[in-house]
Amino acid sequence: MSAVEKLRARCRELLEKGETDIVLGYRAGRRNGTAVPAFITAAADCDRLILDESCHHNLAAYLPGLRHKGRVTIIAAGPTSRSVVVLLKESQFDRERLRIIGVNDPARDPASPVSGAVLCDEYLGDRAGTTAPADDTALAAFEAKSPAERRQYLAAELGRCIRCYACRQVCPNCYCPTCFVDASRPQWVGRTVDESDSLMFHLMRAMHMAGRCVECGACARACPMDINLMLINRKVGAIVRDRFGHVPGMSLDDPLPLTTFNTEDKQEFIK
Amino acid sequence: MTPRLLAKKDLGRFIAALAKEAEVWAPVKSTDRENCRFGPVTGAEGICLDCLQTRLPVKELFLPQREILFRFKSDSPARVKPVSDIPARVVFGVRPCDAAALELFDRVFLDPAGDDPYYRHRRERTALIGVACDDPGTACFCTAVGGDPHGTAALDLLLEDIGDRWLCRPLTEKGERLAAARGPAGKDDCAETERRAAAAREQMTFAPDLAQLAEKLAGAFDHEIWEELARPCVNCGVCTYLCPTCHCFDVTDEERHGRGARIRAWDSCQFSLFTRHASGHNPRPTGTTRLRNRTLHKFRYFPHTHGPLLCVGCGRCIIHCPAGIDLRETLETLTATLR
Amino acid sequence: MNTPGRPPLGNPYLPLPVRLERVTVENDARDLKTFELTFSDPGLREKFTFVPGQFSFLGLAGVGEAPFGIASAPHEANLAFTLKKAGHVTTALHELSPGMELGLRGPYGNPYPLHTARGRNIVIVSGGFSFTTLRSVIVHLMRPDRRGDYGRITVVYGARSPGELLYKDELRAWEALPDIDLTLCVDRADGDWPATEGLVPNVLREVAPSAKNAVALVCGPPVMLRFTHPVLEELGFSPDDVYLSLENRMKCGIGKCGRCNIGEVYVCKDGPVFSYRRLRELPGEN
Ligand SMILES: Cc1cc2nc3c(=O)[nH]c(=O)nc-3n(C[C@H](O)[C@H](O)[C@H](O)COP(=O)(O)OP(=O)(O)OC[C@H]3O[C@@H](n4cnc5c(N)ncnc54)[C@H](O)[C@@H]3O)c2cc1C
Ligand code: SF4
Ligand code: SF4
Ligand code: SF4
Ligand code: SF4
Ligand code: FES
Repeated sequence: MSAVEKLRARCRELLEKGETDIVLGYRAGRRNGTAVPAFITAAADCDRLILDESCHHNLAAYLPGLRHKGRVTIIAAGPTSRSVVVLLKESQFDRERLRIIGVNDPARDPASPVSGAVLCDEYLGDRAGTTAPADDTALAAFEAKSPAERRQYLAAELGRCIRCYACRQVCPNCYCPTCFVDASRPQWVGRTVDESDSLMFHLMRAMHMAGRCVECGACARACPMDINLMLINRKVGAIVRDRFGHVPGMSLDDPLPLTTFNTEDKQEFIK
Repeated sequence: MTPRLLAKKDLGRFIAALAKEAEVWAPVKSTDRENCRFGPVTGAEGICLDCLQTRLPVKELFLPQREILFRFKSDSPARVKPVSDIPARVVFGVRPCDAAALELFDRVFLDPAGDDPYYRHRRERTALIGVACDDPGTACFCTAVGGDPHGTAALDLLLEDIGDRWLCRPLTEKGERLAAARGPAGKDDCAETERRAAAAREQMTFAPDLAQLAEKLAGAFDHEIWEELARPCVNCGVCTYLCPTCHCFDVTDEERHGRGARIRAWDSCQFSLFTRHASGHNPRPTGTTRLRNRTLHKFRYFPHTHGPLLCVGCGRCIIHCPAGIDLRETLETLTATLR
Repeated sequence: MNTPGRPPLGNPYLPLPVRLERVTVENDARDLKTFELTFSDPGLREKFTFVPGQFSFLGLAGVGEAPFGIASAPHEANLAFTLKKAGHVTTALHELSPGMELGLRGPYGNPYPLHTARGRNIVIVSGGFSFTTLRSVIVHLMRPDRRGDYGRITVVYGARSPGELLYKDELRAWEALPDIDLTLCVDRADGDWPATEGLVPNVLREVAPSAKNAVALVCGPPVMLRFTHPVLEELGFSPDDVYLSLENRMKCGIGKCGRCNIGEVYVCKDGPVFSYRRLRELPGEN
């Protein structure tokens, strides 16, 4: 049996035995080489499940929306599993109602530090290793630039933003009922695509992501304007690693860095 | 009107001549990525005709993502000054689907019962030079929704590739003037464009029964299928912002240092705040109701009011949907499911 | 034919400066104020023609604008609006004092079908502060030179408490008049106003206006509307003879910005007044 056949059989079994209500996986899109997140509730539909390089969506993004929809089985490769860890730690889903089928990342982004699932109830096939975040040459190159060049680069990237919020919507961490950019009383951020408004949106979002972003790359893949969002996320990730020694979503037991006070935290900002 | 010829190597001179009379806009590739977009040009340099489509449709030149309606001074907030003056423009390299979408915009914004002066101004001041498609993309389906890869809707002049030259088909007096300096085309040239158009049409196989679908959609509002269709949708603005036919906007005021402007900015029925009342009540509170609105607006409400569908088959929503939702599949599912 | 009024100037997005002449605080909570306005350019009043049921946008540059039903009658010199303090724009407007200027756009929308209602009895049902455009209707119909065009006028108007009823002086005056049959009701009476206790739909059932040759004009919060329809049906009103006014979120008021649709209609330009029959055909999405 191929891996995907095993996956289908196992999900069929879970639905038939009534051990889960929804399987959250991938099915083939209409166009060649594309996948669509699938929400399977009937055992017979498990044949639609696929697992190949087109399966790049971070499925954890759908979990908050399924909170009141019964028991969920999620197919989770490394990035999705790390987001699941973050969501569980932030009490966004009930661990008891969640079954995680770990898989090796079929659409592995070479820059992603994790390929296999970090948390699961069962694993499909041989579990791939979990590597630490690699040195990021793109980030290093960016940091080597002068402040003026860096500003110019960011302005050019973010200047293309059309405020479609695809980056926010596909992000499992972005589950706030009213996002700060949408708040109108008070209105924190202007609605336009002016450089200042877009910069404000992205920098505030980056702040909200600190210590939570698992660097899955979903936002960058979703962006219709090809904006290099991962540069910002990697920078924030590097700061959190450096200051707090924390890599988000690697374990359920790590304390959350930005809600935990540690006497050893670097505090050079308090002068 | 006589078809004329333009040698591809003469494009620079052609554009330069246009630029003497008007601002010229064309698809331009940005520095480091595939993100072609309409930008100002003065010659052939920078113009990209290799990309099938600009990432954002030409609508952004007629309904800009951000447009100032008027300016004001903070100390007299009831006294306002409209701004709407734009130079004469020629837009080069518009694909037939994007141009056809402007005819749909016209039905909304040039409604005699309530004209939109900003749109009218931009539309009247702009000539459109189209470039026909000989090699449609995998998501293109213009033929299914009443369009054509060599379609002429809303264009003043259509350029059709015939090797190292374009056949220029004037469609309006404006177009005739734009091509006046070119030599006439021959019968063979015209036959070649016919052949290419037919080949392009053949590449698009999606052919839904839209008359039947329209009828089915009439009673489909409360059907449970919407829930299933909407599940993967994350309710972002991609499919509406990138769509050449979507035209919803928000109006907000901006003020800095004693001066301000009322601006309109693109908005989307996929956003939850789009319809929310001051009381907090929201007529479309869920993703399902919003995806349903988008689908029904395009394939039921708009045709009911205006005739044509509110979709020109450009495929942008298909290629760029972050969830991988394919509008063609949605239409197929609806046709198969609804009675 | 009586065509609805049209905005007097070409650019529909441009507000016209109007001056706040008078502010009346309508309720104890002080969150309902009636604004009386005149055009800063006096020549515009004559060009600003409207029919009861239409609305306008009021706003301040820098703050924004919002739609409000016109509460004055067409023949009254000042334009009047009653604003509930609800959010960003309404809070700013509530802070204005007489003599200050604000911006007005309109009139927009389709009015109550008063032209086709000639010769018929008029039944007016309203709850809360949405009574505004129905005040316009009543004042319009009560004009001595118009009054003969219509039959009986029956009004059932309710609010949470007597203090929340709008236009109290006028209500008192109408109560004393023989050619209008006014019933006021409140959830809780408090002694100083002889109003019936009870919810609008229930009081309407007791008042039981005849459906014969009558048109009902209804405006109120969604719950009131929901419970009023069945009563009107019981009383024998056909869905063609019941008209209601809706409030959806609006930005442009002219059918362009796309947000106020219910199915294929835009509430701003195809409404806000709809017959119940038309409304029933539309998707249940409001
Ligand atoms: C046809 C019509 C007639 C109305 N008549 C009256 C009236 O006579 N008196 C009165 O007090 N109110 C009336 N309203 C409701 C009034 O428009 C809202 O209370 C007002 O928009 C709230 O704006 P805000 O900025 O204070 O609130 P915010 O919540 O800050 O609203 C922000 C924006 O949302 C929009 N909006 C929010 N809620 C509504 C809503 N319920 N309806 C329409 N747009 C909304 C507006 O564009 C507003 O500027 C009417 C609404 C409509 C559609
Ligand atoms: S997805 Fe891209 S264009 Fe859209 S809001 Fe995010 S950064 Fe901007
Ligand atoms: S682009 Fe896709 S995910 Fe985004 S709103 Fe449209 S259908 Fe939904
Ligand atoms: S709905 Fe999709 S395919 Fe149709 S015009 Fe819009 S973006 Fe193009
Ligand atoms: S689909 Fe939505 S965003 Fe597009 S035009 Fe219709 S209502 Fe507006
Ligand atoms: S308010 Fe803009 S379309 Fe109705």
